[in-house]
Formats: sequence, structure tokens, C-alpha cells
Amino acid sequence: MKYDLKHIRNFSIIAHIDHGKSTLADRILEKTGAVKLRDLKEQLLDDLDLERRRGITIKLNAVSLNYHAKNGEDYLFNLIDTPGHVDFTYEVSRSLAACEGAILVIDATQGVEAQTLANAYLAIDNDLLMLPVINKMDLPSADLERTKEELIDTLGIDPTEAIPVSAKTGLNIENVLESIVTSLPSPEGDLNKPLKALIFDSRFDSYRGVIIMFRVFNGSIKVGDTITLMSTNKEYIVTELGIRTPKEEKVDALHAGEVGYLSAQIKDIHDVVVGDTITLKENPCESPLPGYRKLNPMVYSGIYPADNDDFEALREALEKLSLNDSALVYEPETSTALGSGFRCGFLGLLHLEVIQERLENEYGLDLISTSPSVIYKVTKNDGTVVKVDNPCNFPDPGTYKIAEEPYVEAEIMTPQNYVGSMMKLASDHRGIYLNMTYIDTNRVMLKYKMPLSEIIFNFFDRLKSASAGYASLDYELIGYEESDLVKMQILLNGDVCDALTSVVFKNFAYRRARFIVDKLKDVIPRQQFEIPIQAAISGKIIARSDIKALRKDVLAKCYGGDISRKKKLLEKQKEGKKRMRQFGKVYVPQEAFIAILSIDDE
Amino acid sequence: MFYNQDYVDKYMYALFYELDLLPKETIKTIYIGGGTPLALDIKSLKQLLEKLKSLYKLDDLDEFSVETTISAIDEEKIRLLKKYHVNRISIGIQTFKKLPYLNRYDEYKMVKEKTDLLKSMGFNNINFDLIYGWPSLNLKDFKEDIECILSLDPAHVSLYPLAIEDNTILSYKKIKPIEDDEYAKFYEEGINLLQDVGIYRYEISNFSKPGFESKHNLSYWKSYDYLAAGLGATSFYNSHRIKRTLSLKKYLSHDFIDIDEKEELKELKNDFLMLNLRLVNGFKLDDYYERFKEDFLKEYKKEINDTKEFLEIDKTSVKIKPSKLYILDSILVDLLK
Repeated sequence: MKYDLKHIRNFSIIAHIDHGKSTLADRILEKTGAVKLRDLKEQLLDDLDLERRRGITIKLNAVSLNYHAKNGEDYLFNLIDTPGHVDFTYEVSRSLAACEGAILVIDATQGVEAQTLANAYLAIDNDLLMLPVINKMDLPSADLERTKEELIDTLGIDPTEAIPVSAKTGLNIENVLESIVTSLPSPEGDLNKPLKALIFDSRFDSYRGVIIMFRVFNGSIKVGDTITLMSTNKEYIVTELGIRTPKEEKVDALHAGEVGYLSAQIKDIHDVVVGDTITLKENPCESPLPGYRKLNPMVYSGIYPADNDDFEALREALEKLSLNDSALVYEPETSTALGSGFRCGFLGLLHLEVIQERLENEYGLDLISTSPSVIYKVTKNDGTVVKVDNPCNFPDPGTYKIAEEPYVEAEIMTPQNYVGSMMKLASDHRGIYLNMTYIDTNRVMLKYKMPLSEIIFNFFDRLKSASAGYASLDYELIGYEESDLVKMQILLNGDVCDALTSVVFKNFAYRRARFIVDKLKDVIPRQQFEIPIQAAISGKIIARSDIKALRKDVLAKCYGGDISRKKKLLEKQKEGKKRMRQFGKVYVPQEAFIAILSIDDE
Repeated sequence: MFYNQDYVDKYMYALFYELDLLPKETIKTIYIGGGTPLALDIKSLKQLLEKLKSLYKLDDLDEFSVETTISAIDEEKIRLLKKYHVNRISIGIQTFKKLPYLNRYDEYKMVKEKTDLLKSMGFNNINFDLIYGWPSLNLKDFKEDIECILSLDPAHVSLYPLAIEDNTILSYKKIKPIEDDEYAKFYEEGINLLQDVGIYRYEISNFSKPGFESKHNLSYWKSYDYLAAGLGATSFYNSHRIKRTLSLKKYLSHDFIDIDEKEELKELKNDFLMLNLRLVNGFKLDDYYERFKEDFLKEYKKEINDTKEFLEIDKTSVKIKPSKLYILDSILVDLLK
């Protein structure tokens, strides 16, 4: 079926986590007949197991649906899903950029929350019209009036437009569908202008190469066209075009206002960047769409198999994951402590966690990760500049002139009553105050300049806990600045354990050192001899904690009767020891590396 | 627990039935354990001893032990035990100071009385079980416990650290165990106090005057075969480790066996090492060879190397260094294959 622009609606659904975004999407799919009820796995748009378990969307998805409206006409709905976390703000903003409208879902039992606002502001930034939907009306604790009041107070949205629904029971879903037709704008675009299309997602298909999800703003694209990806100027010939309903349906051409997918024998997903503009080689558009940002890994961590025999399996798993994840980069590295593994780059800590979990759950790997690190820029005495993504390679003092670290501009949005604790949190993390804006009578936006390294250490968790979950965070890399940094090494029983090396801000070094050695003392089990744990900066010990020698470890009463049980205990201990890493004579459990990650030096 | 003669009779009937089923072997020691066998009334006790007499030559035994609590001891029962050649009594004391605010003297007075009675009737091989590491008791309390025991001139003392296991009264009361370092302090103090009066450690938790080591228990630690009968009892015979049921109902219906595991060679070797190395004297290399037809030093070359700082190996035997016996488990983790 062919639709004119007036009969197309491109929209996203945005919500705070767990407010029912995916359930509403499922209901819309069902009501438009795209999916038969019996085929409906719960929350169809969340493809990954992990997404379903965590209730977050990581990879985006888009579907095209036909809706037969009450006015007797047929409409094409392009529903574009968005990921839900600060690491992926950029992707959210790009997928919103592909829409004209957004359904803003609010849980009637919870009201407006941090991500409701963060997402709503992203939608406003992208000039989207919002259709407020108040969900979970089937629950006894639903409070429609209060939620409506919050809508006007925090976002200035006219609450009379809000539709009370229950995505679970299907209550009022028809009204939502009708309102998409009547309230959300149809796309505009000029068919006669040169092709200008926005890439908002990509994935890898073993047969067809990279599949690009895109939105056409101007012009048309058809099979056989030679396209240019404007950020790289690389050219490809379009071999397939289509829309997802949600199963793929091939089409010959896509036009201004439409959303679809294409394949063009693109072999490497890293050549396709979200936010990039597609145009035609023969008749290119003058300038790309605004808002494109090159996605660089911001956080690096060493990932090692717990069992060295799994190195190849880890390589294969990373290879497969990176096929579908252009932001994931990795290269092999060796650690004296951990053996062979990979240094991997991530968009942020959540991205790191997601990849780690997928490696463990989907590929059955047992992993050890080193402390995450940013990329430091060091100017050596001879003037050469090196980039350090592994703390072990950070040069010794005296061998370099300047050390720089990445800074971000962090925006913290918080209810007014948490401003004090947010300011303290930011300044504890070397934040430099830039400004404060009142969003409304209750909501404040704080801007800080901060080192990225301060954010990657559970800053987000602390921000949440210091604000009862209400504050939200966004940050953007603004460049490198000189910083007083030192490399801190950890010695176990006198030997440096390279996997525990970190780069720290000099003024924080003593405090950090004390916490690390104390934490390690708690997680490394006592052994038959005393083990000193030391933290050192350029060879000078700045903190020490000793694990006392084991003094009692015995099944003290052992007669015939209970030997089987005690033997099993011993076997379990033996198994446990196999899973630990041995450094010299010292056995270190995996948790030691995790403990360093969760360091809480307050 | 209440004493119910009907159950006692039924239990004795099942027990005798099982005793009749045991392989016919010449045995060297008997141990009637389980805490409170002397809780039996005199008639049942006599029936039990008579049953054993019908099966085994009691006057030829190297050792015949009976376990008891202090309150279950009386003159009539002692006389009966004597008549059936029981020659060793093991008394569970735990501590003389049951609660911090209780006077230890009352408890001690009763123990002293009963011990004197036993001795006057010819029982000189008496063991006392003592438990240390009560969260409410300090080192001074523990020393007083030991001094009380020593004043009774025991032939044998067992010192066990308090273990708070799941699903026990102590765990339900949410009693927290003391630190391992504290246990070690108590233990070392105990070793010294006992040694000073000529009571030497021969196993991790067991101490005796020379010649009064428990022969029955030594056969466990030397990983020899032993038979067993009764609720929850375990035997080790022809490489089979057999555990009897803990359900009285099942036992009374002659459904005796809970688990019967045949041990493979590797397990037999692990048993041998983990048990023998509990002994201060360890084991003889010849014994190992005789049992497994392998040279232990060759077979365990790598493992011995990993644990050499904790072992004492000479031409004839292998043992754990006395100062390291208390961390035996962590050594075994590296020594066992």
C-alpha cells in the first residue's frame, strides 16, 4: 500500500524505566494487527534476553504498521523504539530525531520521574510533539489526578490531552491510536530535493552484511542507487530496501517522510555510524543533518577469561558481539597477572556491564575484568604524545612533560531539595561548577565540568542514591585538560599485580590507596602465611594492609560418621581454589577485581 | 527428648536385628556412642550388653568404650558395664560454666562425685570432652575448665572448638562464632596446659597420657575398616562407606541404609591422607605402600613440593609440622589430588 505524507506518523515511545513502554508498544502492534496475539512474546521490541531481564532497551528497533483509522482512512505508523540509559543518550536523541512525535508514558502509580523528564527534554530538543499517556490505570494505587498535576508542573504539558490507559489490559489503546492520527504531526519533506536520510540504527546480518535503519527526510532512495555515507564519504550500491512490519517486507523505493531499512553489501558495522547522513553519489545534498557525533569509546577495561583455555572462545564471542555493536572495540593484550585477554572500549559503564553480561550469559564465559579506565594523553619529554588506555602503560614521573585526562560537561537534573547533596557529590568528584538553571519551580539543572574518570567510578549510582533516584545525569565529552595524575600499583606479597594498577588524581592517591588495600584485605582469603598488600606510587609505598596468616582451618572433630560430608567440604574448597588467580604464592579470588570496581571511598 | 519405653523396646528390637545382619568378623574394639546410651534403663542396657556378648568375645576386646553424660551415671549401671568388660568411659562435659552467670562449682561437684565413683569401681580410662570457643566465655573461663578437668586426673581429653552448624539450636539462637584467631588462642593454651601435666596431643583434637590413646578412634584415623549399627551410624567396610538412616520410623521398619557409597581408589587415598594426617605422628610410608602398592613420595611428588613447608618427611613417615596441624584443611586442599 502506498501512503502520502499526510498518512504517515513517525513516533517514538519514551518513558522512565519500568513505566510500561514496551508493553504499550506490544499492545499497539497487536491492535494494528501487525502481530497475532498468539505470536506475541512478551515485549516484542526488546529482542535481547538481557533487555527483557533488565527491563531496558539497549538496541533500538523500528516497525512500520498499518492503522485503519475511524475516519475510514489507512495510516502508516513508524514506531521507533529508543534505548533507555545515560550511556546511550546519543542514540536516543538520534532515534528521536527520526520522528515528529513521541508518546510520553507515565506510570500512574509512580508519577513523573527522572528519566521521564530527561527523555521529555530530549524530545523537546528534537522539536517533537508529545502525546502524554498515563499508564497502569488498572492498578488500585493509580493516581490519575496527581500524575496530571505533575505533568503540568514539571513539563507544562496540558493534562487534558493525557490519555489514561492500561497497556496490560488494553484499556483505551484505541484512543491512543486515534490520537496518534489526530494529535501527532505528519512528516514534511521534499521529494524533489536530493536524498537526505538519517541513520538511527544498524545491525549485522550474516547474509546481507550491515542492515541500516534510516529515515528519509528529503528525496527518494531506490534499489540500485549508489549512496554515500557522508561522515566517511564511503560509497555503496543499495541491494535491498524494505520496511519491517515487524517482519521484513521488501520495497523498491523509499521516499521523504518514510522509515525503512537498506542493505548495501557493507561488511563492517564500524563503517556505519548512528547519526550519519545518507545521500546519493550522483545528486548529493549540500550538507548533512545536524547532530552527528562520532562515537568513540570512553571507557576501557581489560577483559580476561577466568580460565586461560577460554581465550579463543572469548575472542570469538567479542567478534560476534562487535558485529552488531559498532561502539564496541577490542584488541588482544597480555597481563602477567591474568594471562591473555582483551582491552575493550565501551561507551560507558552500562555498556561495559551489558557486554560483560552478554559474554557471560550468552556465551557461557567466566570473566575477570580490570578496573575501568579512561584514555589519558601523555606528552613525553621528547615531545611525542601517547594515548594510554591501560593504566599499566602510564609512564613514570620524570619521563613525561604533561599528562591530560578527558573532561566532560555534566548536566545534573535534580529536584530542588537535592541541590545541596548534588553539589557536594560533584565537588567531591573534582567537579567545577559552571552554572545552575531553574527548569521550573521545583526542578534544577546543574552544570559541572568534571573529569570523565570521576564519572566512571559509580558516580551514577551515588547520584541516584543521594537523590532518592530523582536526579538524572547526562554528560558530553568536551576535551582534554592537564591533570596531576599518578600511576598507583598494588603489590601482593611484594610483587606488583599489574591487573590492579590504576591511574589516580594525585590528591586522592592516599585515600584511594588506603581503601584499595583495605578492600583487598577483606576479599582475599587468609592463607598459610602472612601477605602484605601495598599500594605504591613510583616505587614508594603509600599504604599497607596485612592479611594475617591463617591460624585455624581444620575440621576439628572427625570420626567415621561425618567423614563424607567433610570430604565434600574439602573438595569444594579445592574447586574454589582452582577458580582463583595465583600471583606468586598468593591466591586471589575473582571478587578482588570486582571489589576494586565498586570502590566506595567516602 | 522424653524417655518412652515403648520406643526403646522397638528400637532395641530393630538394633538387635541389624546387629545380627553384620558381617561375622573378629573385632578388636567396641564403641557405644551417640551421646547418651546410659540413658537406657538398667533392663534395656543389660539386654544390649547381653546381645553384644552373644555376638563378640567381650573379654578379648582391646578396648570397649561407652559414652555418657554425667547425670546418667549411677552405681548400678557402672557395675553392669564392668561386668560386661567395658573398660573406657567417655564423658561429655562441654564446659563447667554453662552460662556466664552460673557458678561452675555445682557442675564441678557433680562431675567430681561421679568420677570418683567410677574410679572407685575400677574405671581408670576416662575421657572428658570439652568444648571451647563459647561466645560468652573468655580465655580465663577456658583455663578454669581445663583446670577442673585436670583435677580429676583424666587419662584422655578431647578438645573441640564450638561449631555452629545450620539447623541446630545454636544457629537458631543466632549465636555468632568467635573469630578464628580467638579459637587458635584457646587451642594453643589448651595444648600447653595439658602438655604440662603429661597429657599429650596425638590427634588434632585429642590428648592422652601415653598409652591411653583411644584405640577405637585410632582405627578411624588410620582408615581401617569398621562396622556399625544403629540410627545414623556410619560404617566403612570393603571400601563401602555406609550411612544408616536418621529417620527413626524407617529404622524401626528395618529400612536401615540411607547411603551406600563404594569408594574408588582416588577417594580411598584421599580418605587415607585426610584422616592419617590428623595424627601427630602422621602415617608410615610402608603403610601407604601396603595399602595402595604405590610409593607415596613418588606418586605425590608435585603435591608434596607444593606443601613442603608444612610437612615433615623422613625415611619412614610423613606428618604435618606440629605448629601447622591446626590449618590441616588448607594444606590438604593442596596435597590431595
